[in-house]
Amino acid sequence: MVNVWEHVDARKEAQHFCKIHNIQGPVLIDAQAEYITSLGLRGVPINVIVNKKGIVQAVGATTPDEVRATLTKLLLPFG
Amino acid sequence: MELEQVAGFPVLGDFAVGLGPEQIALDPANRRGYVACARSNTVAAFDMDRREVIGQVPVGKEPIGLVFDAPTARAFACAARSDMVYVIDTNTLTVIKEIPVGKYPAGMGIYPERRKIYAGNTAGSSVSVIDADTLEVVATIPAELAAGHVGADPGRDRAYCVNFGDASITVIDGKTNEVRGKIPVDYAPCKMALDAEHGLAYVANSLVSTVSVVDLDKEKVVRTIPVERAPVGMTLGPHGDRIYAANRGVGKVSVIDRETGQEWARVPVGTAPGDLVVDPTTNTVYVSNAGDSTISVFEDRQQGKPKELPKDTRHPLVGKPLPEFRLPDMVDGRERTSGEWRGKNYILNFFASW
Repeated sequence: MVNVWEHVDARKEAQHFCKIHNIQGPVLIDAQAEYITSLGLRGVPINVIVNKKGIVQAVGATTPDEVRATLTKLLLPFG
Repeated sequence: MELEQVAGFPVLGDFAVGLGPEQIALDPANRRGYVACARSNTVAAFDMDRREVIGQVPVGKEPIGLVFDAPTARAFACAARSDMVYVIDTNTLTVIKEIPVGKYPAGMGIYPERRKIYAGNTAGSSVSVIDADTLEVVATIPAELAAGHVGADPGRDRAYCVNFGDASITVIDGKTNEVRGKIPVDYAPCKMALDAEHGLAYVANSLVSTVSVVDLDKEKVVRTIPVERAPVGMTLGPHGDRIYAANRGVGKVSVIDRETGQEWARVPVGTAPGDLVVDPTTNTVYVSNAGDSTISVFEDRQQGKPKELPKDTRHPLVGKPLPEFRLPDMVDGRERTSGEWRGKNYILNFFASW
C-alpha cells in the first residue's frame, strides 16, 4: 500500500490509519504525491494491479467485485 | 493543473484554500463561501466570484463538517479530533463559541426551519443536536457506527444521519429528536443530498462506487446508480433534473440524470475531491479537493441530456510496465523499490487516512 496526499505528519497519520483498520503488509509513503502524480492518477482509493512481468493489468478496481474479477484473470495459468 | 474541458461544463479554475479541504457551505447572498480545512485546522472563507481566500479562522483539530446559518451569519464547523463544534461569526471571522459534542464528530447538518444544527459523532455513534440560536446542545441521539453527515427535510419533518460504518441512515424526528427508524443503503455511505420536491434522497456510497436513491416516504432504497469511482460528495444540480457526485477515486464530478440514473458527464476537477455545493444564482459548482488542497469551480450550462455521453476509457498505464518506485517504508523510513516485487503478481493500493 502507498500512502499519499497526507499533507501533515504522513508517517504518523498512515500508522494511525493502519492500526485502526488492522492493515498488515508493507506500507510506503509518497508524501509529496510525486509517484502517484507521475502515474497520472488523480484520486484515492485506487488500485494498480501488476503482473509477474511488471506489466500493469488494471487501474482502478477498488470494489470487491472488480478486485475479484481482475485477480481471477491474473491467476489463470495462461491468462 | 490543466484540466480537460467537457462541453456544457466549463471549468472556471481552481484556488488554494487550506490543507485537506472537506465540507463547503455557501452564503450566495453575500457571495462568500466557507470550507473546513482538515489538515490546516482552519475554516477558510472565500470570495465566490473572485475565487480566492479572504480569511482563515483557526479552529480545533481536524475540522471536517461545516454548515452555514444565514439568519445569524454563523458558520458551524466540527473539529473531529477536538470533539467540538466551533461557532464562527462570519462578519468578524472569529470563533464566538466552542461547543463540546460527542466523540470524533466528522459530519454536520442544518435544519433551518427548526433552528437545529446536527453533528454526527463518528466514534460516538450518535448525533448531537445544537440549538442554532442559544448554541447549546439540546439532545444527543443514538445513531450507528461512524455517524456523520446529516440531511434535513422540513416537508416530512425528519433529519437523516448517514452512518458510514453501518451502511445505513438513521431517521430522526425533526421536532422531538427521537429515532424513527433506520434505512439500509450500500456500503460506506458518506453524504446525502435531499430532494424534497421528489421525496427522494441520494446517498453517495464511497467504497462500492454507487449512489442509492432513497424514497423518503417508503424509507427504502428504490434505485442504485453506479458512478465512476468512490463518490464522497453529493448534491442536487440546477434545473431539478440532475444530481452531482464528487468521485474521490478519480478526481471528477459525475453529472447524473435524476430520472434515469444515466451519467451525463464526468467533469474533471482537482485530486481526490470530497464535497461539492452549487450556487443556485449562477449554476456554478464549487468542489473541495482533499488531495491538492484546492477548490475547483465549474459552471453548469448544460440544458438537458448532452449529445455525447462519457465513455469508459482504459487508463493509459494498462498494458505498460509499471514505472519504478523508490519510496520510504512507513515503519522505519528505509527505501523500498519496485524491484522487491519483481516476478510477483501484486496490487499497489494508494490510500489516504482521510
